[in-house]
Amino acid sequence: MPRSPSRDLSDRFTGNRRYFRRPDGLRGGRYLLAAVAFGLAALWAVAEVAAPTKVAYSFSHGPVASVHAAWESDCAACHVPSSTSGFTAASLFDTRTRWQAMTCEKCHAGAAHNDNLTATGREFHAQCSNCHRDHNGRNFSLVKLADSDCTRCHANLPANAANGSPKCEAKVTNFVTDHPEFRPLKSPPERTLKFSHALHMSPGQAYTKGGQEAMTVGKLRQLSGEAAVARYTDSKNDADLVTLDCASCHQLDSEAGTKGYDKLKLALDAAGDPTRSVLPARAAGATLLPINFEAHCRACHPLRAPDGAAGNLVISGFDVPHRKQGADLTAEVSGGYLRSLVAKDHPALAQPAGPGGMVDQPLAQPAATLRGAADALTAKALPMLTGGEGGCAKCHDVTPASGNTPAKVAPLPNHSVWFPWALFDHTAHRGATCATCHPGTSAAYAAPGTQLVEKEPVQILGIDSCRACHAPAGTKVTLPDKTTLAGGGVRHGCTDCHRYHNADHGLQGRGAKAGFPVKPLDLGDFIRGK
Amino acid sequence: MLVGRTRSVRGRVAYILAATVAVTVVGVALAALGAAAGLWVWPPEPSSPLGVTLGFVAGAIVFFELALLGRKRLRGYRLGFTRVWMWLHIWLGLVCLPVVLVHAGFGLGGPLSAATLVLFLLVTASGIWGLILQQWLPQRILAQVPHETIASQIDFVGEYHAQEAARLVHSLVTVPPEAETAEPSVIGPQAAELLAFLDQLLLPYLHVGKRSGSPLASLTEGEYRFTRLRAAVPEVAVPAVERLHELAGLRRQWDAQARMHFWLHNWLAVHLPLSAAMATLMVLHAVKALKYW
Repeated sequence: MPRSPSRDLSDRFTGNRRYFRRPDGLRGGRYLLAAVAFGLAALWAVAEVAAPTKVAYSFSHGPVASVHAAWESDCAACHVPSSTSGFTAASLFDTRTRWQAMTCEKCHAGAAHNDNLTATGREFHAQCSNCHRDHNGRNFSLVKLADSDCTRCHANLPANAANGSPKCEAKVTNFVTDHPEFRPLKSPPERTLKFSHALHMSPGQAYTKGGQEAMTVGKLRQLSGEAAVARYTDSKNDADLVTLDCASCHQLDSEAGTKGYDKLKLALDAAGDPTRSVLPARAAGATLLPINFEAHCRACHPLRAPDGAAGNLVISGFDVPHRKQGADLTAEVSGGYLRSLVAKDHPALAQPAGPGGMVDQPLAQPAATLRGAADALTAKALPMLTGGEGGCAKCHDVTPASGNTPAKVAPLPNHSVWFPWALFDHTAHRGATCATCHPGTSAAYAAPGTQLVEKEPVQILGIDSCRACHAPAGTKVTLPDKTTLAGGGVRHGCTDCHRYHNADHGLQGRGAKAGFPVKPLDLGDFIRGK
Repeated sequence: MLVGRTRSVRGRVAYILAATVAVTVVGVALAALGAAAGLWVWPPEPSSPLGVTLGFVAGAIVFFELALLGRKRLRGYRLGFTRVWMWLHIWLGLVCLPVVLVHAGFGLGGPLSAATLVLFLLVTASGIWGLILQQWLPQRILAQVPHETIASQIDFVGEYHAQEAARLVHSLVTVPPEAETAEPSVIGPQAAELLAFLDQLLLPYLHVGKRSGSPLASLTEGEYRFTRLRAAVPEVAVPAVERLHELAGLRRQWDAQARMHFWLHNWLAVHLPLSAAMATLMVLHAVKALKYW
């Protein structure tokens, strides 16, 4: 009987019916590989648990900026550590916000920008990381922000101000396109100082060419001595004119260690004035050192009480301190004359004491005589000291004395920084001449029949002069001679000129207390990021 | 599992590739539309509510995909139709691709998320590769291996056939004790040649197939050798030689079957281990991401 084909097929597996229970190489191999792969992945998990700090760092988006490099692998130094307290299902979808909870204020006070914000604005600005985005590499700047960070409010400020009426420009989206003219140029402040750069840059600071009033070396020596001469000129010829340049008065640094510094220090020492207050060490160089009378004016414009006479005595004049007026000035001048009268042995000093007088009693009569003489001299001197011929009114606006009311000098506003709401670094612009941005500061005589305008307008070119460089590359620039060339290309972002924090105090710098942390840390806690 | 309704292999492969691209493009386009409508930002952020939601969706899909393994191990419990499971496995796997891409914000992120994403892409790619092979090779096996056997038992069956071949040859060249005749059917040099053919060419080939290096692995060479053998043996031995020829032919078919079977299933040696690693890292990624973002 022939065997069926099916039997023939099944007989092949006689004794091997349960072959499917045993994995073949292919099947066994893939399970083995799966186990190995699972094991490797599990090892990764073990590493995460064993070295949580290093592993946490592996979640970093990138290296932190160099200022934060010490805490590169310590997330909790800056980020609020995660916690299961308060954990809800909704918080699963809030991981980004949670991870952006920072503790920046441990080291940075982060003075507020402006309180006039909507609730949304306040919430946004409460998160430092909304603008300062770290983990972008060692050389990434945390303070140079994209314009969009500012224009999110400033493109429509009324909509983002709590009271709908912001104090500054309502809409600014870009420095080049719609940034307004600088405030001091748009609404110039009233000047209270009579000072002409053109006059002072002219040879001899004369109003006209060859004018008799020109300051010569000889006059300067007579006024303020050799130290002043040495400071302003190398000439020994008394007939030579004293010629100034910008750096004669405007300095970005004390230049300690140079001849110029030594000369100025010598001139100040000669008058008994302190030097360190007007020549600070290592000035930042962004803004010019302040101009002050003692360092920059007195050599040519000394304040002296005039010579006088008391009876037969000739009383010499003397230096009067600057910044004194009213009763203070009167007291200074009167005291000066009294000292001179005493020094000259005024006859009143020779009067004998009254009957019954004691040596430690005041000599009433001689004192009254001396006081009267000094007062007389003072009364003659004060109008001259506060007047326009070498007195206060030469440079300042002065309200003349009236009756018992002494003359009053109008105070000078602080213009050591003209643009308090912006940053300008003179050092960064030292490649250009001063006159590039400050027109009308070159030597110029008054036109015949006219007088120099001594109360200058603000001698700073407007925003367009900035845009010659701070604009997109290729911006057409028209030069004073009407020729044009392609300029621009220099950065022109908001944060290149403006600050955010503590911006309400435009004259405060980086060292302002507002930027200090509430509780500074010692070195150990600082490095540990406590 | 065959996909598409066409009988053409190319048509089915094209269908798979087109479906992969279409599902991905549609998924990404939906995310872009949502961003354009202001529902979320573009490119998507993994830690945004959308990103986290898609992360959960992708995680759920991955767990379902892995459940297929359990379904196979527990096939005796009849947990739904295999066809339905495979259909869902394939299509949810494809849908998971744009879900994961949008969840990742089209970026790699840190080391763990990068490793997880790369593994996911490799798993998806190996799955699509396997699906393509399944559209082609079974049909090819059916056509080229009419005597298909159980692939894992080819060597075992070869051994069985080797024993049969040895019995056949020995019955020709030897006389069993119970036989009435005094001489075997094949004697002398012919018997020696037949035995040499058996020992040197046929048995090694039947035992291990192509790995034996036997010339019988080649169809042309095999035909030539059997023609010579057929001519060399007496008429009485020809039926046995024909059977030997048939056994060698079966082994040659199974060699081809083994090769195609390897290609039909070797992608799983990538797909399964990478899936295991990816799923493990995915869980770790989810925990760490929710802890650290």
